Amino acid sequence: MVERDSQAPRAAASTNEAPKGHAAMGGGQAPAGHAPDSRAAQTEGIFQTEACWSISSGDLLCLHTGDWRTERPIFVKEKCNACGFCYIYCPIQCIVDDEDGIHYAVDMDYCKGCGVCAKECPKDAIVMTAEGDYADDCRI
Amino acid sequence: MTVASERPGVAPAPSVAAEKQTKVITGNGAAAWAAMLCRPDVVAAYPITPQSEVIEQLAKFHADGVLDCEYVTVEGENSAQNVVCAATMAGGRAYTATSSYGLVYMYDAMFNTAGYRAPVVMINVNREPPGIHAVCSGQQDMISVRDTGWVQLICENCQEILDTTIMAFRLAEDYDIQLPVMVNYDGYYLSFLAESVEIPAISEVDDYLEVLKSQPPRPQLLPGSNLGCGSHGIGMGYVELRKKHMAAMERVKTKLEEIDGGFEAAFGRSYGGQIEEYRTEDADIVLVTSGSAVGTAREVIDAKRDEGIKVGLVKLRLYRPWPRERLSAALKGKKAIGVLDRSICFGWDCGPFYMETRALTPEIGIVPMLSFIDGLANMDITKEHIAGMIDDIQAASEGRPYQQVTWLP
Repeated sequence: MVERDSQAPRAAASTNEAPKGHAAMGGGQAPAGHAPDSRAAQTEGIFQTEACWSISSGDLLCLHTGDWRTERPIFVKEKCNACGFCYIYCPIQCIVDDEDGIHYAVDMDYCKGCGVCAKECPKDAIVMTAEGDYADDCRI
Repeated sequence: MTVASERPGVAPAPSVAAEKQTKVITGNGAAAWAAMLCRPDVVAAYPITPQSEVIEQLAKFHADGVLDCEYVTVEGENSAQNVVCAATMAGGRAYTATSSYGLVYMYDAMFNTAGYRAPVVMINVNREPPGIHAVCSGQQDMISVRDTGWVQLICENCQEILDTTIMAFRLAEDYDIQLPVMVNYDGYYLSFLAESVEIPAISEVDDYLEVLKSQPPRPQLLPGSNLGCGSHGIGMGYVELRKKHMAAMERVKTKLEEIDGGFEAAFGRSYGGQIEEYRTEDADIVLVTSGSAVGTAREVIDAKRDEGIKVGLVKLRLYRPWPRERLSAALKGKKAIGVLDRSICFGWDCGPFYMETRALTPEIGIVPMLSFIDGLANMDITKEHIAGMIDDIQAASEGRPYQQVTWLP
């Protein structure tokens, strides 16, 4: 499934030489956007410093932390009164504005399927649904 | 909080530290004085016997206006470690001190600090860890955090505590190293031992640490910037960081020798870097030990030399990384080797330093190696004990049967 083109980071890591400089600190070579590329693309060049420093806008958001989700929230707009509880309670803040400008939606790249939004929704407008039901249109 | 690299010039010297002086202070006092002289930006620690005096003294320095730092009174050691870790991530210089229960209570946070390559300096006053409630000296606490990725140093006396703490800041914040450093010394035997200590003027310490300011700046976590540290290292990212960490750990060995040399040039005292060899050059047999036991061992070795026994001593100063090259060179060609441990190594039925010395057999050659376990829980490592050990090592070197592991008394 995942191509492991790990030559570059392995070569970089195999030296015992002292660090060269912090000029290119993270981010520089990180893949742009959210394209689910190979694992090498996700990790290569993330840590250009001695430590695990990374630029959140460049590096961290490339990691799709929601990709081990087992359930996903489905929003039933007919029941929703746009109170925003889901937005407030979401522990990883992945509830976003819906395209209609009134309701809410979920950024599936980061939703871990915890179900807090569904639990807190006063209108029962969020239904947790098995991820397996969406296997065919899985983005990754 | 003033970040070290942003200080406008050099801060004024507090009057108590303006001049070089000689004072009678305890080991804990020496640790506190050294920390103060290095001008940490943040101190966070929780009191625990036998370390409490360190942070009491630092709190007093702070209250008296001698130490210009953020003094964070935390509710436990886990918080203390997280505070100092974060402070170094923000670019500051940070210091903490603990012992035994406190050390193991910050165990997870120690991995963070090391994994983030946060150059924290921490005092660990050696004391037996939980299980058997011993408010007593013993090195088992430092052994138990062996694989957290920290550099570990061990001190023999109060002067060495002061000097090693200053060197620890120099080492931790070195651009090639960027690792947390733990300075260990025996609780009770050194923590409360008062002896004459030469305390340098703060300006001399400023000068000694000045070189750190000319390094490339470390990244800083600052409010408003979108920089993160330690958030993710999945797969190869993890491997890359581990490899770098390991490489930095290896560099510590030569760097410590350099720093020790620089310290001698600045202050006139040196400690041999990773290890100190005492009368090993023409020795047939060698005793390896560390900490406060070294002083006793040195005396006994002088006495045994007078009796005609060619015995030498290796004092272990660096525990992590293990000084294997220097140790191998010091021990190669000896007829028998004894290792005195103040802790035990479960699963190997011997002392931890012994186990690691034994791992050098391919370099040293196969000779009798004897493990001595002494000084647990404040049991004194006496001259008689060490004389007995040397007799055992000598007998083994002459081909007589010997016991591999000996518990004393």
